[in-house]
Amino acid sequence: MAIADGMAINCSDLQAVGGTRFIAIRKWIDTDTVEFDDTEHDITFIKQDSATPGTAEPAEWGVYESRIESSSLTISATNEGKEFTTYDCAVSWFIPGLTAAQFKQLHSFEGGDCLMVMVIDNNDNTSGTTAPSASEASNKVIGVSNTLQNQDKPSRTQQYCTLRSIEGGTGAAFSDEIGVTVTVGCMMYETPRNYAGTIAIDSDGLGLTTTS
Amino acid sequence: MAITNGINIACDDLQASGGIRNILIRTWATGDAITYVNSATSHSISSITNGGSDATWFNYEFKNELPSLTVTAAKENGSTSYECALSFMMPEMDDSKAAALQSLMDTCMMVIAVGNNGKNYVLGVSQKYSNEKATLRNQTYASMTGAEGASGAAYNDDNGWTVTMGCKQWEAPRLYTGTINLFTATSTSTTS
Repeated sequence: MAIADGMAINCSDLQAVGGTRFIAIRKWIDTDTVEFDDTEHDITFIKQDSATPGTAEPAEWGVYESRIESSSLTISATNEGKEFTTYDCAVSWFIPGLTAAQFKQLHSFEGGDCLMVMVIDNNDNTSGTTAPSASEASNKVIGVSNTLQNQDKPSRTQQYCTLRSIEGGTGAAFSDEIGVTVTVGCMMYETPRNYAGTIAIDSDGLGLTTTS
Repeated sequence: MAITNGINIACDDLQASGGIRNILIRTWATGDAITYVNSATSHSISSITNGGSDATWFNYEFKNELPSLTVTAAKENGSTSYECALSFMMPEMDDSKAAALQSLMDTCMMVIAVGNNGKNYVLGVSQKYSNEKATLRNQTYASMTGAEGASGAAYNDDNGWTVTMGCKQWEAPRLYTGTINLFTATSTSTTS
């Protein structure tokens, strides 16, 4: 693919803020359908099979809150002179409290499950605006890729995310932090894609669905 | 957000008095509803209610001319943070003051400081980077960030507690433009 255009950096780019707004996680299901747009390098939709076989319905994700300013997505790309570049992607976040309910929720994906993760950052509106945006367009998906993947079924891609670590504890002093930092990551062979389909967050903010 | 308005300084602005007249504090509660106003000329909160009813606040009195509100903003990259601190002095370290401090220790709060200029400054209630689906789970609430007690040494020294309430938020503190009913009961006020 020839390079026909470079890249502009505008004032709005320089006002971009760090951190994440939502971290959504779901397990890959064998019947998941994913549509990639390789021209725009995004994902048009992620859907799951409905009760009626062959009929897709919105894919369901769990939204994981964290302590503010403690969650981040990191991407490390390396190329060793081959035709592909390796992208190691990891999202980590801090969960304060160390409660039984939190551990129960973490246990739901600690068994080596194949995961996909969507990170929605804080840049859906500019830093000067205050009202939360209704948009979740400023997002990145990891664990879902279309380069060097198993072409038969998206669910058999071996570039899914897994739980990499849970670190933390009670601390010792009364003023110490109590909680865990969770890291979920994947190895892909393309930059994380933007989810361009519809994202609908549910009323309590703890779940979302994706569709086209 | 582009600049669309400048600002005038009128004579009455120049007559504004310093200091704080009333301090109202309450714990964030399930059912709290906040109405934010965002426009080119207003950055405010027009109502704070709970479950469709008036929200109840508790009045913290203090020694006059000692409380103050300070706001320190700092921009790093595209994010501007506002560190807000309200300090006030409760004279005489007695049993009831200690109990008041205990109640402030481990709870997520919001604060209204009514200035002597008649303006109501809200701390711990902000919309920028808030939890959009659950106002209650907003993490920019106010906490008691410090308390200093002193008996003094000389007979004419102050004896009392200086309490600091603080929060970190990512927007300037808002003014409360709704209705505040002060002292609807002993040490209690309401907002609607």
